[in-house]
Amino acid sequence: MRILLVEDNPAEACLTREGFADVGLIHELRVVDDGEKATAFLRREGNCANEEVPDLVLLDLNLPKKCGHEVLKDIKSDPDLLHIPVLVVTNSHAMDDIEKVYRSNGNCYLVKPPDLNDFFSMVRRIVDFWWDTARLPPAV
Amino acid sequence: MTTLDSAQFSAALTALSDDSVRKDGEERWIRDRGFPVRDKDGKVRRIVGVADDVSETRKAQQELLRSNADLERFAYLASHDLQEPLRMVTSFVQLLQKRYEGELGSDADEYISHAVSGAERMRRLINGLLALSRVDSRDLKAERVSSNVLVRDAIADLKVAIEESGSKVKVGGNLPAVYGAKAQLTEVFQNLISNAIKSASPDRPPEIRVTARDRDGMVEFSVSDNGPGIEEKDFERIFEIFQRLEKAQDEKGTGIGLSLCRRIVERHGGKMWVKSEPGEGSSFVFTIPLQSTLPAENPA
Repeated sequence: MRILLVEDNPAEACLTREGFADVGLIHELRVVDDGEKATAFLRREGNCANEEVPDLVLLDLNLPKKCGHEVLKDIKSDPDLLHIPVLVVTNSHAMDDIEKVYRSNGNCYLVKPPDLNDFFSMVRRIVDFWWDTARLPPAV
Repeated sequence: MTTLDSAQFSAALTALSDDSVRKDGEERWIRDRGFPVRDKDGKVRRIVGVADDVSETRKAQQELLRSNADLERFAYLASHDLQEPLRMVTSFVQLLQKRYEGELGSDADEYISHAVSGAERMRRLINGLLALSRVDSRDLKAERVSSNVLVRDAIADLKVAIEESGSKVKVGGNLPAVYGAKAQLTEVFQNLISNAIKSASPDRPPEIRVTARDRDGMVEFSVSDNGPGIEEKDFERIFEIFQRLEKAQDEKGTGIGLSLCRRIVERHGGKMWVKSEPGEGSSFVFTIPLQSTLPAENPA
């Protein structure tokens, strides 16, 4: 499974990596740290020409250059990308953000839990659901 | 002698405040107080009044309102923005503990566990401050609510703590409906019951009684316990923010719960106090209006 994590805080990215490591399965996790790089990565533009399209995107909302809401709109309006499940994982509890994400066809909205074990079990549930429960389209 | 008709009456009152704009063009706030002098037929003959320049008082009042609003906003933003870096500190210290406990020597294990409990305590404090700043900054969505439901929800939220401590929570009969914000009032009951459990006497399991009675158009609730009680000198201090009676390390409290409760009760137009005899337990008493008489709806 290939995952793209869009997250500007290296500590958060490290923690997510640890979370996936804790689940035990080996996943390919790529990290980009701003919104523009996320779009470039997914469209395989510039030096991302050799990247593969991920199976799942984990997207933070508060990002430099282009915010998560815009990245989500880019993905969901691109015929080559709109099938990729986008899970928004953020610190924001704001009802506005939640509504906006689902209105832009985001697949899921998750708030980062403050406790490490809760965060790890959230990652475990992501894996359980998107890998074992749900069926995804074949890689392009 | 002529009498004044109603138009003349109001003109006379207006005349008192002719100075509301000074000659230099500066606007001033004038407070007029006047009363009519009537003749024996009850006709108004004269207006006797005083016009005070209250501009300075008003300015001070407005500044106070503004600085209160700034303070609330600051508390909200500070606690909200502090959460993200704190999450990193907490998570990584927890990760260190999870991965390396028992491998770095007993000193290291102890240091890490101090860091973990410090970070957890800070998180509770920040959440408490955030809750406190939300009491005033959010609109009070008041409705008619059954206090049976409020108490039932509070007890349900505390189910684990009640069972683990072997507490008995008794509700005295059918509780009346009140007018208020459901989530906030549930929080009051929850905090009071949870405090009673946390401050129980070591030699007996907590017994908590929730009762209500009518009092001057308000409902007076009481949450009583059989704990060690509180000395009279501490009756007011316990409601102050960050004031706690126990030592910091042996309690899970933050010193915010009771300030939060009192603030919620006052926001509803009620009052909160404590009655206690050392050795005899404590009763936390508060009043909530029966009807819609919220200050928020009737601005002074």
